Amino acid sequence: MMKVNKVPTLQINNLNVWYGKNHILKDLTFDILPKQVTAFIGPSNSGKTALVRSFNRLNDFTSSFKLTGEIIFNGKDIYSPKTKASDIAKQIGMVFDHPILFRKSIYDNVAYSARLRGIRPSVEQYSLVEESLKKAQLWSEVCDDLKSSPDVLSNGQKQRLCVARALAANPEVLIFDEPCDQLDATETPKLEAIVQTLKRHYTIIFVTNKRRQAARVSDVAGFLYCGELVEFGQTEQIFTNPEDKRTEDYVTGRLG
Amino acid sequence: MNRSELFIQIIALATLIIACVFVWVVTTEVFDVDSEILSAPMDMDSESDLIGRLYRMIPFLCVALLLSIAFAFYIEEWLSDTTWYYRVINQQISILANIPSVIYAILVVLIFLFQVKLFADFTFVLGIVFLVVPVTIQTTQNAIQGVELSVREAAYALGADRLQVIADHVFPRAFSKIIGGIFTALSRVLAIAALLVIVCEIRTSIIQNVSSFEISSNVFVLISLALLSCILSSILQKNSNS
Repeated sequence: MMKVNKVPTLQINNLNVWYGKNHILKDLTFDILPKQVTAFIGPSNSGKTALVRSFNRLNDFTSSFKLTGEIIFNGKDIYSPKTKASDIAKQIGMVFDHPILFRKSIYDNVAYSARLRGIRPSVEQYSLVEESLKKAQLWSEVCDDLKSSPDVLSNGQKQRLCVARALAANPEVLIFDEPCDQLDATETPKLEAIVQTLKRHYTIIFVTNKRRQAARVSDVAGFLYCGELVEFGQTEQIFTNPEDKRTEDYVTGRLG
Repeated sequence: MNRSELFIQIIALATLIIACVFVWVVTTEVFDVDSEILSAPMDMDSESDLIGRLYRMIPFLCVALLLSIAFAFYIEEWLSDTTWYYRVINQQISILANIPSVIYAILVVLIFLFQVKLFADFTFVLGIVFLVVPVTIQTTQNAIQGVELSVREAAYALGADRLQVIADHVFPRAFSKIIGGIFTALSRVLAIAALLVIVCEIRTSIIQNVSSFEISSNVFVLISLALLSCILSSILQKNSNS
């Protein structure tokens, strides 16, 4: 059941994306509503990552990238010349498919986002780091050695540290780009649980190529295939009663 | 190699040759008229004079190093790598950096031996520019390219702007390689300086008609410094790999 009364956080209108001559995304139009998990599923090379990287303007640094159409975020066009890419990135955070940490201590990795926001006083910074690590359910595991290097952490802990770092930037939208790709079976449920608690305060976009994971975590799902948004709707409906033949083939495992 | 790549190389080479001819014409024509400002007549007999001249090059050397590092950052971070001028500049730098330092040395020594008065300090400055700048730019470029894209993206995704990404992540990660590049350039300069001192001594001994001559300690100092900076540069560039 669609909640029509909510104002969408992100409105995507006729979005087309090219990398060089490759037409990656073909004429996508949909809305992302606040405070829920929107998942994008699809086989590899279907354009999922290109799509979410358009939201926080990370594609700008790909030299052959070209975009038409508009992405409206809280009433403003993300790609209008007046909008600064770094301002957008501050409001739309991202967690990548593998944990990317800076060569700093655990504390400083999280505090870096605070510093970018201009929060320098150490008391304020410390409470923000603590709060972010608690939200990422990592505080109890690292609170004793905040000053040590994150190299000692496990992959799952590192990924949760990345979540904490993204949260410390105080975003409104949080993008997870295949976050469980390199996590084992014990860490994946933890991250999914974090996503479930975070959706109360953040709008979450979750990219995955695992169908069951999308079914578990998301409220709304979109099926991308070869750059087309084949189907977009409530997760339950996508997985139980898909309208398109290709969606049905994908969720039942016959495709991709 | 495709056709456009060949075209880029031809443009790079042609512009370099034109630039060299231009420098040659300017130096021979312009400084002929007004040579006294740039070069007092060189007293070739005194080796200390040469050493003094070499010392005077140190500020030029520092400025050249700093400028070439800044330039490398500019072309790597601000120029898009698909534009034709980025490719032309890159090609020119790699042509200049791959010319063995001996060739520059021969040029400097020739001018030195023939005692073209209008050169002198200016020759050394040009020599330093050609010896140091391309190598430093190239090693700095490699160091910047060696910083993983994922780290930049992680910083951009947190809302850092370009300067913050460079200052907080790219520069610290590339730092030891950049310093290694500086030492590579220094070792080239020091080796050439040693060669110049030797040439100067040989020349003096020929003029004075002495049958045997001793190599002064200056040469050994210069050569050992050159070797030392060579070793330092290889250590620095290795360390940053691991």
